[in-house]
Amino acid sequence: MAGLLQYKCPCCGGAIEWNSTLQKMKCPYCDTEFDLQTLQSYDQELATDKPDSMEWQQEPGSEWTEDEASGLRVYVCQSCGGEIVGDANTAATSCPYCGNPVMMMGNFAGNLKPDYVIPFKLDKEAAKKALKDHLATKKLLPKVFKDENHIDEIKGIYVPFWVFDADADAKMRYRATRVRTWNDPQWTYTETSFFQVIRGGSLSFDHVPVDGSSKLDDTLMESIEPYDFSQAVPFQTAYLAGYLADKYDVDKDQTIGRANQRIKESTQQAFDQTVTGYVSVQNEYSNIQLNNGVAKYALYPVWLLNTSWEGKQYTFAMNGQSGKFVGDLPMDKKLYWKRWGLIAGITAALVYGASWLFTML
Amino acid sequence: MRKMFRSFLSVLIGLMLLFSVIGGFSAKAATTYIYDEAGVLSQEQLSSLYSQMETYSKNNQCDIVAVLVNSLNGMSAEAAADTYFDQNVGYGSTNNGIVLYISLGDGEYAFSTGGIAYDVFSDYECNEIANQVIPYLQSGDYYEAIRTFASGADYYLQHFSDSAYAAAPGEKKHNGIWAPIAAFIGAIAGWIGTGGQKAALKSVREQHGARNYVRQNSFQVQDAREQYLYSQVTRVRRQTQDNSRPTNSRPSGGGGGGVHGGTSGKF
Repeated sequence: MAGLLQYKCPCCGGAIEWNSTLQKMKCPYCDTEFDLQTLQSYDQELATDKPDSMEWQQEPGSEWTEDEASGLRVYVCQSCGGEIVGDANTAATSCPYCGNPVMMMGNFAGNLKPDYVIPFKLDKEAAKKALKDHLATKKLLPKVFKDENHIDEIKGIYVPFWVFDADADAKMRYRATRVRTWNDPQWTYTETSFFQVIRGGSLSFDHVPVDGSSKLDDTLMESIEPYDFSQAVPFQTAYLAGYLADKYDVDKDQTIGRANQRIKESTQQAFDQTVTGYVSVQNEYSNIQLNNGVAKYALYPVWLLNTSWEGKQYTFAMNGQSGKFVGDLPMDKKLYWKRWGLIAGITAALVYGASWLFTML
Repeated sequence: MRKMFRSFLSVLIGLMLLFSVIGGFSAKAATTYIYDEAGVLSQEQLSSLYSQMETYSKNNQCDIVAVLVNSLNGMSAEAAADTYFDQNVGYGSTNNGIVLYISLGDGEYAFSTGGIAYDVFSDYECNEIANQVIPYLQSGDYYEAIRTFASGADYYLQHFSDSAYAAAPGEKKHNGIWAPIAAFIGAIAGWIGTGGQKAALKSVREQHGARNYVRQNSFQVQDAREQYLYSQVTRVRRQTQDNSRPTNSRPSGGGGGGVHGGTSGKF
């Protein structure tokens, strides 16, 4: 049985939200602001509420298949009594009837409770502006996409991430060469000396993130990195008010492989860069041991924007902390070949003209 | 009467054509490919050399001529060679030709080039031929010396006609290879110029590594060693000549003739 949580304004009873600009909770109805300490107390007080006032129902004999039904959760909004249907991983959303932000507390209970959250620093307007800027600088973007494009949906979502700390102990072996040349009256001599180069040491990593949601493209989530974990705060449900949130559905054991891969790549690069002063360097052996690994569960802020064009869905993502905006765009092929032809033609003409000039000299 | 006039005219035209053909042949036959004033070659050797040099000359459309004299008569070898060239040598309207002028009594030789040979035989080519010819001159084997000269001249003329910088004498010829080169460079520039714009459309990329998450000052290299294994030594012969487009150090006007090139020396 899952419960819903809404933050009610002590002044007017309206559902209050996290305001990323003020970095405070603010009531959208009476504009009253609340700081986090107040809310923390408020949150704790709410936690003592008896669950019997929160009900959820699952329609018996529904027309959903068994598989579909097992992934669905039905909640009843505390404000208006409306029925909210979400999937098993939905942790925060808004009521489709009254628009009030709600949280599914069951998805933050026990082991599912995130350790940290990085609160949204940028609002929806910033995401819209970022999309506009993103499109403005693309010269090969179809003009109709730019002109006629409208965003189908913008949603601020707290994405579940596993963040990993680890110390990497490395031992590397390289085959390197140095080259020396000298002349006598008849010959040019080249001496190639071969060396075995050993490097060993350690490197530590903090908060390497891996997306813990299967619903979001991992590459899209990696593209909006990095996140500054120094701005992360211990998790409080208050930060989720006004945004969507998912709980993880990819556990840390499934994601640790990706973190290890990234840590190893950077460790290898760091040691490779210490092997200098050679003409050629080839890595022969690499052994990287990861120690003191710690995984934390955190929610990171992401703005997701969806748009469709010519039957294809385009998803953009913005880092809700840093504002880094990504999203692949379509290309105007005619415009591409036109520009290619222009550059190629001008360059070829210049080269050919220069060859004539060179001949005449 | 009219019939007689036509017959006379036909005979006249026929004679004119005949004379012109004979004249033409005699004009070509006037080129003496081997002139042995010193009289050191046998008739058989002269005949053999003449045949060889005539063949090379016609194939390359460039006269290849050798002159053997006893004395320069106070002239420099170069001036004598140029003078001989102007008076006796030159293939076609551009007077293509190369003369090896050898004075046995003075122990000097000189090359004189003109027309296309001016472009073909720079100092480098002349010196290369001279290096092969001089040992024969020193040993008195003039037949072999001239045969070597003719073969060398033929080689460079054939080689030059295949080369990228072949040009008709007196004119700067633009090589046709520049058209595909320019098209290729243009295509590459097109790819590069639009490549950045195309790449800008794609911003969703996998992260490589985790360098943004390296703990500050945590990188420690505790073991840094280098062990010498072995060495390999290779050698290549040094280039003593510049084989890029060679220079012609002696562009000179002969005695009233055209511009000549070539080198000279003693043997």
